[in-house]
Amino acid sequence: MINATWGVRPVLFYIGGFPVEAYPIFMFLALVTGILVYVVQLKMDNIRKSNALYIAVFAIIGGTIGSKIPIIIMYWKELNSDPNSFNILLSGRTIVGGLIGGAVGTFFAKKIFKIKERLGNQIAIPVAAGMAVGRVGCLLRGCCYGKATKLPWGIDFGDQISRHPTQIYEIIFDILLVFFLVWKKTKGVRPGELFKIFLNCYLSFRFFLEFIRVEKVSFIGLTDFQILCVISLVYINRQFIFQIFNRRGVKENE
Amino acid sequence: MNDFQEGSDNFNNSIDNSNPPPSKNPNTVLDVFMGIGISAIAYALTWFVFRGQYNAMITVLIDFIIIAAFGFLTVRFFRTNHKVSAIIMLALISPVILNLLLLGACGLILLPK
Repeated sequence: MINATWGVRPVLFYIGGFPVEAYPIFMFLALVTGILVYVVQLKMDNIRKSNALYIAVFAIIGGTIGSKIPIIIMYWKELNSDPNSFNILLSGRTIVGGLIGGAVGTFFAKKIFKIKERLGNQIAIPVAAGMAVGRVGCLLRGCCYGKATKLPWGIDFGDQISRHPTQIYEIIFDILLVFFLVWKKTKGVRPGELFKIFLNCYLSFRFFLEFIRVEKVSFIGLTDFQILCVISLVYINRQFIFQIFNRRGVKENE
Repeated sequence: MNDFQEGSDNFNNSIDNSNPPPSKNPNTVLDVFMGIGISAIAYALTWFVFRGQYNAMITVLIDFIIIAAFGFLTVRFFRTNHKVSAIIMLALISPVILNLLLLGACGLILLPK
């Protein structure tokens, strides 16, 4: 429900009585940060810009649609009861779905336009940096909050309950992840490997973070996002998992 | 005109345009109209879908398909020497994408009841 008082600072300032909300501002800054870091990465690695643009367009559109689809599936009944489809289009988004949607969009762009370049090493750091900025918007708006806690750094988002500031946990993690990815890149990685590392790190972190977040539990005590994280992690590491099973099979035959 | 050529001298003139060679320089004016036209069609389709008495979720899913198709066409035009059309389409779809990305919040807490 619309609640102007919910969140740390949902409205940044007023311009002529018109409220300038924190969430859209920081989401926009996240997008700008991501694009700027992406351009810097491309320049540093001497990548052809045209293919990078096509992939970016597909990744952004795929990410936008992907970020909405899990919310639509999760809250199918609640959303269907809303007569205004425009509200449904605007309400709710998830970064896990956005990442998967972006990856799927990139995959289709490469298949359809026969792009051979692998840009995972150039995309990973911008996405992590953008996510860190975007979570500031979540903190100020008061979405993505955690469960009640008695820890001294708990934050009251407006319901007089001290909660885990899961947004801050994620900002810290994202910043550390940026440094880790930069370090990994300077050490040398195979083409496209950095995005795989990024997804593995973020989805694993998100899986554990969900235990202290307020989300709808849907299956064997796990939230929908946790299930999505597990499925994505299995898919990303499918070759590694097959290798383990193959080795075991060979040992048992011996 | 040499011995191997047949027909009139104006065979290669611009008057005979029955089979024009592919132009390397795209027509900018045509590209502008194409970009605006396709964007207008996409917006009109979205408007018709929203105006229709469909289920809210069906409307949203059709809208996603339109956006995905529009994105595909944009990149297609970038690659087929219709850069002006592609830039116009990109500029015209950006507000929709930004709306979807920026407004509201991550959860459904802003959904009016």
